[in-house]
Order: sequence, then C-alpha cells, then structure tokens
Amino acid sequence: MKRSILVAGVILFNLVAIFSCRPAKLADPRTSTSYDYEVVFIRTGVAGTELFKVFSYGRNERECIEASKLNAIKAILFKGIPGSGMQRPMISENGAEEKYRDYFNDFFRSGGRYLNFVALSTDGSIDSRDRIKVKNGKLLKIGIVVSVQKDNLRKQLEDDKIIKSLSSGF
Amino acid sequence: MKRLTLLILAPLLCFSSQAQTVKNKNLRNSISMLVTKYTSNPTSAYYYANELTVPSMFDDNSLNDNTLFVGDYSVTDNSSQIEAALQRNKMGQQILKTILYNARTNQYTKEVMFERGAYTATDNDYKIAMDSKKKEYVLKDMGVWLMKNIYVEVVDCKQFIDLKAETYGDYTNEYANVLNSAQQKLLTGTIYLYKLDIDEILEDQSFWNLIDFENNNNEVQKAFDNYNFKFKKINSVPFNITESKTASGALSVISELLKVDNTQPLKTDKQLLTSMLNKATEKSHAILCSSLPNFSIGQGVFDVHPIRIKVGKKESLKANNLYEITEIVEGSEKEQHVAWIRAKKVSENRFVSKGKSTPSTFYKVSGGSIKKGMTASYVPQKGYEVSVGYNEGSSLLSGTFVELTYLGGGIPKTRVGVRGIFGNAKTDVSENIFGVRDKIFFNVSNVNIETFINHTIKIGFIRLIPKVGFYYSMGRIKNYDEKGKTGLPMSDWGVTEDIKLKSWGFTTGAGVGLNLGKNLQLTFRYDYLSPLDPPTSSRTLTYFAIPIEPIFNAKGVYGVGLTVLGF
Repeated sequence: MKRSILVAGVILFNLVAIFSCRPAKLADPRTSTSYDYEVVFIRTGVAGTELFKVFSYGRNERECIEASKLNAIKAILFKGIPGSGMQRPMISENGAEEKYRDYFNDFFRSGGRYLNFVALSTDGSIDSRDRIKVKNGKLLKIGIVVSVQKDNLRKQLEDDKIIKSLSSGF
Repeated sequence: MKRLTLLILAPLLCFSSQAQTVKNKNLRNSISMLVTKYTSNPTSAYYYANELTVPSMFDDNSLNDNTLFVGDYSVTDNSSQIEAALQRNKMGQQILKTILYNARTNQYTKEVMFERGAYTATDNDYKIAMDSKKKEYVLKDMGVWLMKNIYVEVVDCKQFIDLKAETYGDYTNEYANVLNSAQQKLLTGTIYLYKLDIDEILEDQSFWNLIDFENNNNEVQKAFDNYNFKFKKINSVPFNITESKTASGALSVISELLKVDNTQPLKTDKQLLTSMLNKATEKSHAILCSSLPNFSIGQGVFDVHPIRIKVGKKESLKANNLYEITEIVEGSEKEQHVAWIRAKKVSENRFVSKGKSTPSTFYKVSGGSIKKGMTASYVPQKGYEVSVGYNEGSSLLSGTFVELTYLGGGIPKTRVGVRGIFGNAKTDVSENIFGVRDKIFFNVSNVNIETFINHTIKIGFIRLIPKVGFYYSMGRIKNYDEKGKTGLPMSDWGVTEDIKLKSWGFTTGAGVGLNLGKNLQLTFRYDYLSPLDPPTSSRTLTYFAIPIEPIFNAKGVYGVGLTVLGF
C-alpha cells in the first residue's frame, strides 16, 4: 500500500514538473486575428516606404524578428498606425480579413509574398532597451525597426482586387 | 622604530599618487579643461593648462588657451569668482566656436556641429537613417542633442610644495632624511565641473538665431558675441596629489636606508605639474561624472558565438574590462543579472559611423546563457580587495592571515597591500638538535605585519601573482610536548623564560589565482621571508645556547587564500 502511494506521488510530481516546464502557449501570428503587437512610427522612408518599430512576442529572437515583419504588414493592412502616413488601415472594408481568408493565409504563409514588402532596417543588432522578457521568462518581446514598401504593397493588393484603386472613384 | 615604520610604508608611499579607475558610463559629451590664473598665483600650474589630457570618453573641446583668468586669489573659496570669470571671459562663446568652426572653409557653421551627431551614431542609427527620406540629416540631428551636454572642468590649484619632514615638524632624525630623500611634491586644490546652460534657449529655438552665421550677418555675430552664456555648477572635488621628483621615490628611500649614493635625474616642475594635474583630473572624473546623464544606456549584445558587442575604443573599452550582462524583465523595476563577461579583442570604432563597424569580442567569466540583445553595461573595477587565508609551515609567516590590497591605475594590474598574519607555527627540533632524546616541539605565537607590492600576470584563466614586501614580526616562543601540552621548562633549553621575538626583513613570493566568479578568486601561494635583523629575545643563557629563533626564520610557507575582488 505504502509502495503504491509512493509510486502515485512520484508520478504526480513528474506530471506537475512536465506541465510547469512546457513552452508558453503562443498564437501563430500568421493565422491569428488578434493584435498582440505594438507598432510605433519612426519616420518616412525613401521612395514610398515607411519605417516602424514593431514589438512582437516569440519564444526566441528569431521568432520575434519574423513576427515583427509580419505584424508590420498586418498593422498597415488592418489596423493603421498613428502618427504615420498610414493612420487609417489600407483595407477599410469591414471583415476583409475573414472575407479574403484564403488569400491572406497564402499571403502570410511562411516565406509568403508579404516578405516582398518588408525588410529589417537594422544591422542585425537588437537594441538592449527593446528586448523584454515576459510571462515568467517563457516569452520574449522584442522591438525591431522595419521598413515597409507601402506603395508597392497597395499596388499588389489593388492588382489582386483586394482593395480598390485610389483612382477608381474618378 | 620610525625607520621601520617607513620601510613598511614604503610601497604605499611610492604608489600614493596612483590614478583611480575612471568610471565610464559611455559618455560622449564634450569637455573643456581649464586651469585658473590669478593676479598673484599660488602655483605655476596655469602655465601647463594646455598639457591637460581630455579623457577619451569625452569629445575634446580644448581651447587655444586653456587658462581662466579669475582675479584676486582667495585662500578660502574661489568658486563664485570662477563662475563670474567663466562669463566674463566669454567661455561660452569660445567653446561654441570650437564646435562650430569648420577648418575646411575657415568659417563658423552649424553643419560642423551636426557632424558630431554622425560621429556618435551607432551602426543601427546609420542604417535607419539611410533607409529614411532625410538620410544623413537624421544623424546630424543627433548633434543637436549633444549641444545640451557641453561641460567645463576648472582646475583650481592651491599649493605646490615640497613634501619634507619639516612639514611634519620632524627634521632632525633618520626618518626625516629618509622622507626627504624621496623628494616628494604635493599639489592641492579643487576641481569644479560646470555645464554650459543653454537648455532654455534651445527649447525656445532662440539659440539657432544666435549661431546663424551662414549668411555672414554682422548683426548675428554681434548678438552672439554679446550674449551672456551661463554656466551651471554640477559638482566640485578637492584633490591632493603627491609625486616624487625622482624617477622612483621608492629607490630614493632604499638608497637612503642602505646609505648608497643615488644620483637620479630630477623631474622638472613642468614635468611634475603636468603629470600631477592630469592625475588630479583623472582621479576626480569618477566623482564629477557620476552625476552626468548617460549618453548611451548600455549596449545590446550583437552576437553570442562568440560574444560580440558593438562597443570599442570610442567608448573607452580596454582589454579585460568587466561588463555585466542583464536583461529587462516585464514587471520588474530592476534589470535582471544574467552573466559577467570580459573584453577580449577591442575594435577600432572611433570614426564616423558608416554602418559597418567591427564589434569587439568578449568572453564569459561566469553566469547563465547570454542571448542576442541583452544589455551589456561596463562595470568599473573598484580599487580595494580583501583576502583571508592560511599559511602552512614552520615560519614567522605561518598562520591565519587577513590581507587588504589596493588596485591603482598608475601601473596596470599592480597592487599595493598590507597583510596581518596571526602566527601559530610549530616545529619539531628534537631530531635536529637532540638526536634520540625526547621529542621536543617549539611553538611561536606571533603577529606579523607585512606590506607588499604584487603584479598580476594573466595566463588563460590563471593569474600568476609575484610579490615583494617588508615584514615586521613580534611574538613569543614556547616549547611543548608531543601531545600539544606544555613540555619541559624553557630553562632546560638554556632559556630562563619564553623567548620574546622581534624580527623584520623582506618577503618574496608568488601566487596562482583562479577566478571563481566576477568577484571571487582562489589563490594558492608560496611566501619566503629573509630577515634583515636577527630576532631579539630576552633570553638569559644559563649553561649552553640552543639556536631556537632561526628555526622560524628564512623559511617558506605554502598558503591558500580566498580573495574578494573589487568591493
């Protein structure tokens, strides 16, 4: 009897240990519709680009940086960025994210077309003030400056009939 | 006794004017260093005002003439006079002109000031600027920020005198000769730190009208020349610097003690004052700069295999500098410690950023896993270290010891120290002296004071630490039996009572240190003592003498110690 209690205790202890050490749950930024990121306008870039600092969450630096590129595009398309030339979202149609789900799933897939319109605007270093450990050390929040080719992005969406051309009303 | 005290203090005397490690907070503010001049000067230091070296963490705003004419000298306080003199001498204009002068066009222009911004930019700043519409003008804007951080350091000297025994009212004995032979000079005074106070006119933009020289407008020039630039006092620190007129003060002391002719060439007043002024300013920077804002709050780790950080000579990084790696944790006010690292290869980054500067490499001393983007902050090495340990052997150096050392900046990696040893050496003399007779042991209980100089040589993770020093020992010898109890009376060994020891001489030795962490070192050492004076005793011989005292002299000891570094 004592042996059974001991075995049960050990199993319980191991289960607690395993579950307490599992990786933090993180929504996939490619498919998530939540806005769990922060975007700050830095300045207007060269020839139709804008520079933003994007704070994204991830389990490591690489995940955070990749998520930042994607979140910058998402912010421009669906959210708008205060203080920039993109204060209003590029796609103003309500429920567009759901309506064009298949299109955006493909657009934002790993190595997808969104990467044609965003680039890191740093030398690869992360500013020490923009790296924050969160959720009991299981997640990272990193801010990185990206440059988004907003003019080219708009043209692509117009060509793909996701948004209407600015001149279409005239 | 005074001669003895002097010998013990000799290593401390010759290192007393060592520079202190400067606290580097990655400042890149500009500084002008001035020396005061009066109608009746207490020292001739102002002659050498242009010899002052601007610390590498500042931009150099030296003027053509770095003297500041104050007026009449006051023996009590000259600070208010100095502040008035800064304005009267139009130091604000003089300093701003050094920033605004363009050597290429021989004109004052705002454009040159902007270049300072480009100079302070990081590679990241450069890349972001190049991706932006304004391009390099973004970098140049950083120069405006630097305008708010223009500092003036004023060195106000009070005394420059010979440090003689007469100074202490003692000039008749051997001690006085020894002290005078060191030919020390003393420089005293106060260093004041001021900031050019232009925050207000920068806020209301009127500053730009004052320096709008591009149009060659005489009215602008006139307004600039007549403007009353104010200075805000930040801090003040008194200084007290001693330096030997000879190449080595210690050599003079030893020559005097050993009665050997010592004809070293003496330093000129210019050499002495230049060196002492620089030491005074270097010592004071740590205190003066502690109140300045950080120019850059730490640097992010650029790469981790190997550890590389984009800092270098521009940030005054030196090989073996200690950096702390920390990270920001959400919800925590303080950054969390991760690891300690030291600089290995220092990169050259003292030129205007082109976005491709080489990072310096570091190695980990201790701590956890280092990740990209964690904060790396410089940790100045403090001056004092304390060590405790035990020496094993039958010598006057045997026993428990406590050691205090001071790491100066004069000779890199060289420390001066004082050590107290509470001796409890035991020795077996029965076989040496009495052959087959009963086993007899002697026990010395003594207190040993030692002063020394040591130097650290780094070989990989191991530190080799050779040292030389003086010791003075006093104590008592007793005999005891095999079991540790008091044995036969001392009179049986030709002595009517316990032997009272008084001995002094040189010590030499070396240690091997293993760094266990940022501040902890385990040291294994070997020390040897060679007496100059034989031990004296109060023994009274009865029938035959036994040479007991030498048993504890001219012998080495093995020791182990634990050192707390830099507290």
